[in-house]
Amino acid sequence: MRADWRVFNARDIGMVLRISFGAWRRQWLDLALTFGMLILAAILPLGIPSIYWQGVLTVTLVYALASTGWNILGGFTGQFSLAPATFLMLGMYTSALLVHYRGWPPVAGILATLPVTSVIGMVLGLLCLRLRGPYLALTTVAFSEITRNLIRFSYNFTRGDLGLSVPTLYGMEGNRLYYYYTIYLLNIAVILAVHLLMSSRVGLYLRSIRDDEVAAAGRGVNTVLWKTMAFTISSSICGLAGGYYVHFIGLASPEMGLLLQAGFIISMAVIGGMGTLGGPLAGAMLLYPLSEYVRRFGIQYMVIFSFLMILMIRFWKAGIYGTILNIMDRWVTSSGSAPALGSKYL
Amino acid sequence: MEVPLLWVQNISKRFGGLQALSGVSFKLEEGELVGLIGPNASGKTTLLNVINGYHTPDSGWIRLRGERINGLSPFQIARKGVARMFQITHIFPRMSVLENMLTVGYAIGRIPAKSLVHRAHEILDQLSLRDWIYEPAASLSGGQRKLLEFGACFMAAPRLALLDEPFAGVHPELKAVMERFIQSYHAEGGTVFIVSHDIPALVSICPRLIALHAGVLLADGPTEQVIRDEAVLESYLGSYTPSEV
Repeated sequence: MRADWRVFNARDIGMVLRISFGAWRRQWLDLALTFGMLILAAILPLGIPSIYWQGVLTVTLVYALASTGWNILGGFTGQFSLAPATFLMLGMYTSALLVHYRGWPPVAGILATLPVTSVIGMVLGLLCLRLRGPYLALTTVAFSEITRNLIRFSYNFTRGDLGLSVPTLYGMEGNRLYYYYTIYLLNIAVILAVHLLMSSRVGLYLRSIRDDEVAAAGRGVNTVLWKTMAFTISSSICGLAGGYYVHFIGLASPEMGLLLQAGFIISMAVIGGMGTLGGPLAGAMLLYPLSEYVRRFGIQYMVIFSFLMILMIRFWKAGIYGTILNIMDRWVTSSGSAPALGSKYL
Repeated sequence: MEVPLLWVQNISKRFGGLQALSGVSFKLEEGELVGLIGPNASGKTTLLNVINGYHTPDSGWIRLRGERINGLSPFQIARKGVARMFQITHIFPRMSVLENMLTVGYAIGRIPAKSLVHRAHEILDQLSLRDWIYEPAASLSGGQRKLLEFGACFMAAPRLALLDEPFAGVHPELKAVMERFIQSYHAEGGTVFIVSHDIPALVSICPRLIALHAGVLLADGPTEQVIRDEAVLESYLGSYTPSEV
């Protein structure tokens, strides 16, 4: 029996190195471009003295992490779930409840989000196995609403809409930059893990499911296993983002599980570039600070923000980061003969 | 007595009011090259779907080297060495040509991982797709896509290759490339089962033919015999005369 569940092994890594600048050229280019953005993200808060904007940048990276998690499922595997914010909320409550009722330290609470949201994600994945397109999306919406309302109505346990106060990771007096660089390191770790995953044979399986699930099964891909795995990994990353977020803002609230939040997380991946490594990070770095900036225009900010989103989707279908990646990919390969990698392939 | 590679016994399949297959039975021996013919809606693709595990038969059983495979899922059957080329091209458009090939190789696991890239290059060379190896499969022409699916079918050295209309809508030059490939695979001991309406092509490469009509097996035997079979002539070949094919 082949060890199908084994994600990484020496064979895969050898494969990546052997043909890394051939078949995996695009993945390596994606990684290089993503690290370019990460370098920018490393120096960005140092030039911003405002504590408020340092906080905005920290939340930006929380969203980037959640969006990277969703991208594994929606971008690479083609399973359009509308539940990323629900897993973020579940991550928040997992850590908050453990810290509040069991007295766990925040770090332990954050780490506990990984197994808890993995299991819930796996169960949702198993429920959604045979669903596609709108059926899958609606099932995840139903799951999200059930979960959010269960938390709201379990007032005695979760304090419902009032929210549950928890200690912050570095204390109220903690330097904002500590929070920023911690989530920054989490983003780097997750981005590297996603790169390894997508450059291995598992990446081939997930993308083959996205492109043609029926054909993938006919060619030996265990679609049940890998779709469930994609749900599990994606949910745990969103959960981790939530676990960290709750110990940054110090309050777990069911507001985070609203469909609007899910739309926000998904928009980041779509506008950045679905199915690319750095797309969600680029989308988050663009969208979240922008949404904070346009707040100054009062209640109309949603109109301005939504209009900008429509413009971006209209003109950069592959996403802003995805378009740049395509141009660079074409530039690297173009000896004149290679067909261009246009947005129609994304 | 040697166990046949594929043993299809009394397979029936009904879709609502349509009896797609009725008690179909036949055997494929190791190393055979067999053609399956029949008019439209005679059950050819349904038969392949049942062998592949996409449809569960209502009755009967299918054995691969003596092991029952009906009831297994498509990916399990594929891993036992049954490869499938679809009538309507199914490639992974957003993946590169090489990635399309490697996905099959890794998923089936019959070829050592270290040889996969070499094997993919070899097959793509034979199919004249070498220049597109790192390009997205979506950038290929219709005929090239068909060739890619054809190549992916042979990527994992299948025990049995099921080809559904491989020559349909393909330029004569590409068709000749496919025919040569099938013949060389067969010469190396591979087993190939081809569904096609291209009777002259089947007659030229397949020593044995099976004919289906309205879900019933009409004839099974040497090609020369089947194309002269009265029932086959009446129900399918019609205007063709044996000398024409």
